[in-house]
Amino acid sequence: MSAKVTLRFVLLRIAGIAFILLLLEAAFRVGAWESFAKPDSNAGMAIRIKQAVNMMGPEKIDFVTVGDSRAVYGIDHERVAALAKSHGLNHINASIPGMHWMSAELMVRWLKAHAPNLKGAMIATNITNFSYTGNGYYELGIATPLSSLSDASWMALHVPFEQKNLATYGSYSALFQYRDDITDLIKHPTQRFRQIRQYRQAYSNGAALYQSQKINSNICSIAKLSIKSCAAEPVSTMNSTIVSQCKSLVVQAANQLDYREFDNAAKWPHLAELKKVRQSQLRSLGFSKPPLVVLMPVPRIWRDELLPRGAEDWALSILRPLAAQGVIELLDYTRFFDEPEGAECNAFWDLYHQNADGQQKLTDVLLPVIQRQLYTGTKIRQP
Amino acid sequence: MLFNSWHFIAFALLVLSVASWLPRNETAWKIFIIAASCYFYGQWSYLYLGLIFVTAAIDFTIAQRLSQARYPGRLLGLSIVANLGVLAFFKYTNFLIQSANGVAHATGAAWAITPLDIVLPVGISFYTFQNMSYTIDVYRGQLAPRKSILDYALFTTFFPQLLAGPIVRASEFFSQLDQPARIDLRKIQYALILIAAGYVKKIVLADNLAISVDEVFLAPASASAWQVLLAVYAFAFQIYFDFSGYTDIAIGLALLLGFEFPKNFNYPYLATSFQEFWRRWHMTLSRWLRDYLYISLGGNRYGPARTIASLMATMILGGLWHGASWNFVVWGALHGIYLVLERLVTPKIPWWQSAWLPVAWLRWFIVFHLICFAWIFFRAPDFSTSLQIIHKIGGVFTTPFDGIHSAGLASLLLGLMAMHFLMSHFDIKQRLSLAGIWPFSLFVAAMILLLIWFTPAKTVPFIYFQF
Repeated sequence: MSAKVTLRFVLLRIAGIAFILLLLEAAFRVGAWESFAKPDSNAGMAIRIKQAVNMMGPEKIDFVTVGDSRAVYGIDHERVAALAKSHGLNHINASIPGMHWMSAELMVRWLKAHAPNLKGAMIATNITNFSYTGNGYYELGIATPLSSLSDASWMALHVPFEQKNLATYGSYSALFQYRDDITDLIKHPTQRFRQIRQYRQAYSNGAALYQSQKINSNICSIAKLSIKSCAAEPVSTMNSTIVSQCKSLVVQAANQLDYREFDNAAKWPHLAELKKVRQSQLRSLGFSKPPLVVLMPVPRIWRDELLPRGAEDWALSILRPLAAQGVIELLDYTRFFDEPEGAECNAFWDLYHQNADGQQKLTDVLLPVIQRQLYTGTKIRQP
Repeated sequence: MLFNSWHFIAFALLVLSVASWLPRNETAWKIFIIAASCYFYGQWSYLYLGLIFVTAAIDFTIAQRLSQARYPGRLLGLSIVANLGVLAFFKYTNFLIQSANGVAHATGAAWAITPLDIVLPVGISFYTFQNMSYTIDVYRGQLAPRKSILDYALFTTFFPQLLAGPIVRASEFFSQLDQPARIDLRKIQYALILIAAGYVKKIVLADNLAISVDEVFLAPASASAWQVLLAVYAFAFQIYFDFSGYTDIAIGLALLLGFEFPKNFNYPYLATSFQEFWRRWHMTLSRWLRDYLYISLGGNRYGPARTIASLMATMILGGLWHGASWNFVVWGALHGIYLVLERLVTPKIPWWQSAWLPVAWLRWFIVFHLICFAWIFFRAPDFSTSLQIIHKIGGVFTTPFDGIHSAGLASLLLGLMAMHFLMSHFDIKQRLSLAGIWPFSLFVAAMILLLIWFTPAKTVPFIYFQF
């Protein structure tokens, strides 16, 4: 038998395997797995929002809030929606814990493609989101259900490819993206289908797009401690969450960077690139009204011990020029709970997130701005 | 370079592509495969690659001279001493030093020998046995000495089986090397199926089982009795999938290069006797031990007492071949005892060999559990941990089954045993090798999907690479 026949034999089989895999990749890309995805996973949360929007009718959406878990807990989305409703508008919340710049943009892009009446957005971010390109490979979970093949390079820019980490292959392939989801389904099939049923019922009327998360506890027991001493605190039922967070942050605190010379391109070459990417991203959103960029409150312990020194100035150096040019409306609430003394510990329920009290205080000041910047003068959609 | 690395996959693709364009079994092809094998081994250590060539040169030269020698037995002895000497130095020197230190400490002696800084050459146990089989076969007149050193270098360094077998006899290898090249498309398809299935066995099954096994064997005190018991069963499957997965890949690669290697596993956990287990488990090692050690020690030719002594010696040395530790000695000795008892006791129980299904199941149950018991010593890092694990397992008789922690693993293991049984009845790999393009493509695509979805975060080296 000739080498030509062998080659043909092998190539045909490779083509057969590739065809089946590409078919499956395409099926995953068009959402074949979405009905089975774990509802509370990163991908599942993005899928739930897509499904809720589709059930409600995407044409009914006027404004959207995107952001991470700080936005989920830090803003009363029901009050925002109620205010919008009083103006005859519909403002949904599409914030997802773990959402970073890549997934936020993909969510906005997806909504713009599906919601023809979308007029503007509120981007609830915070200064910690400017120090790093992405939010780790798990952000790919949020991004994949919202992305298309053409987004691969954009995603890889935020989640760098690592040969030894199969999760990062998810930038290029949806088959890789649902790895954890599929493993979990095999391990807990009955639990998965029960969960999917529950979430389907809860999301059937679109109400979940306006819901707020409210937690009442506070962090006053450790408010004046450093990360190191907080991590060494004896664990009790009152502080176990916060102490474990402190423990997980000890290494970061010990390796605190210094961004005070962020303009020094020789010292921080990646920051100049990062600034360009963020600014062009915000410029390209393409809304008729400049989007509101809200810098959510961040506890002092982050600014003093964890974030690179000068991180706040660095974040503002990106946003302020855009605000000056009218590309965005910048609302800086980073230090909102610094004063008066004791306000901060009563406004957060852990080291990251505001509690119900903090949420209401921030929403009180936010609502008039939203009304003025987004709703006033907006043409009401005809029913 | 591990088989389960991108580096190896790229290497294998390149080697197979180039090798397929060279005239097979001719000088250029041989030089290319030797060079590729050297590169493959050199990724671990070029220094120890030299050791392979030194031992190969000794065996090649001795085999050349055996037929004309006045005292061929002495020459063979020289070859055995050289091979075992190198193996003993690298593998057992520190074991002997530590054992001597242990005895000295126990008897209150004040001296202790400092262990040497020796790195164990990868694959030494395997290539040493292969080289020895060559000179012994030539000595016995079962094989003509090879004229070409290039051929012998190819046999010794052939990368698919260099690190962990299968232990191929020189006669098997050379007879195929001498045959004219023939391309069999079904064999190519079979090889690709073997490789795909081998990767799934290793990465999807063995490496995921390793997570549960390692957790328990590292800290048995913090696991429940049921978790420890399941970890022992899990290790039985982990080592099977790990080693037979490697073997499948090795046999598949060799087949793509034109060599049919002997089978190394044949559903070992279906064995209903220990003799049968050793005919199904690491078959190429079993036959090596039988042909070159057990028979040389007298086998069953000199009465029951000598047979028992030969069996025990073979199994203990077989255990020690795996690793330099008393745990491997115990593992080998346990299998020796099993085989001896089987030989002595079972003929006296008339119903024991009955074909009646419940009796067959009873035989299987006892054999499987005693094999698993022996695996405890194989896997545990030391003797005291082995005893701790055995003691802990005793707790299953007094502790209720902890369903929340163990139900998942228990059902997985039952599923694997059922699969082991079913696969032995339907030789899917053979059937698929005859199938058309779509059944084949579906099978391989399914294997790739399993690899995409179930590859654990941590890469686990092949267990047998350490031997």
